[in-house]
Amino acid sequence: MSIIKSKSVKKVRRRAAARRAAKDIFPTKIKLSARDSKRLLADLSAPPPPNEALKEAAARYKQRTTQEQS
Amino acid sequence: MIIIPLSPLHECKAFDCGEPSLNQFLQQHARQSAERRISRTFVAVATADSAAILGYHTTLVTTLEVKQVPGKVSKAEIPALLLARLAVDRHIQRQGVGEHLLLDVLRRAVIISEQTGLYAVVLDALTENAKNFYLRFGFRELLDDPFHLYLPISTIIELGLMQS
Repeated sequence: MSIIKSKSVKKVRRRAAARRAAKDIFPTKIKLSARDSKRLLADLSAPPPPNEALKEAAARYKQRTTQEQS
Repeated sequence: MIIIPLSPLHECKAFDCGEPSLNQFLQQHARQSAERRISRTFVAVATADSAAILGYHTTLVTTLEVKQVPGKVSKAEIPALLLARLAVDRHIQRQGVGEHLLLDVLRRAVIISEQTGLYAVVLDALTENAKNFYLRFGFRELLDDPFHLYLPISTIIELGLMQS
C-alpha cells in the first residue's frame, strides 16, 4: 500500500513540476489592470488602422512570398 | 527563404541569436512543447532541405483577463495569439528576417481568426530594443505593463496578407 502511495505521490509531484515548468516558459493568462482593460476594449471595438511601417512590411512580405512561390 | 515547422532535421544547437534564453528555448523546449501541442515553432530556412535555422517564431493561444469596466461585462477573458518567442541568428540580423517572421505570425493569426475567436496578437518584449522593433509596426503597449504589447486582429486583417 505504502509503495503504491509513494508512486502515486511521485507521479502527482512530477505532474505539478511539469505544470510549473510550462508556466515558466509561457504565461497561460495575461491579467490586465482596469485602465489597460479599458484601453484594450476600446482598441478592439475601434481598431486603429495599420501604420505605414506595417503596410510597407506587409507589401515586402507579399512580394517575397510571391517570388518564392513562382 | 521559407518558413516551415521545426523538425528533428533542423540544427537547433548551431542557432545563436545572441540571447541565451532564446537559444536555450529553441534547443531544449521548442520541439517538446510542439509535441505536447502547447505551442508551435516555425523556422526560417534558406530552402526546404536546409538544416541551418536563420530564425524562428513560437506561438500559442492565450487569454487576456480583462477587469471590470463600467458598462461592460464584469470580467471577461479575451482569446489572443501569444507570440512567445521570435529570434534571428546573429549572423543575419538586420536583413529583414525578423520582419518576415513577424509578418508570417500575423498571417497565421488571420488564418486562426477565421476558424475561431481571436482578438489580438500579444507579446512580452524581452528587451527595450525588441520592444522598439514591435512599436515600429504599430504594436500598442499596455500602460501598466509597458513590455506587454498587442495588435488588434482587425488591424492585421486590413493588411490583406491572405492575398499573398
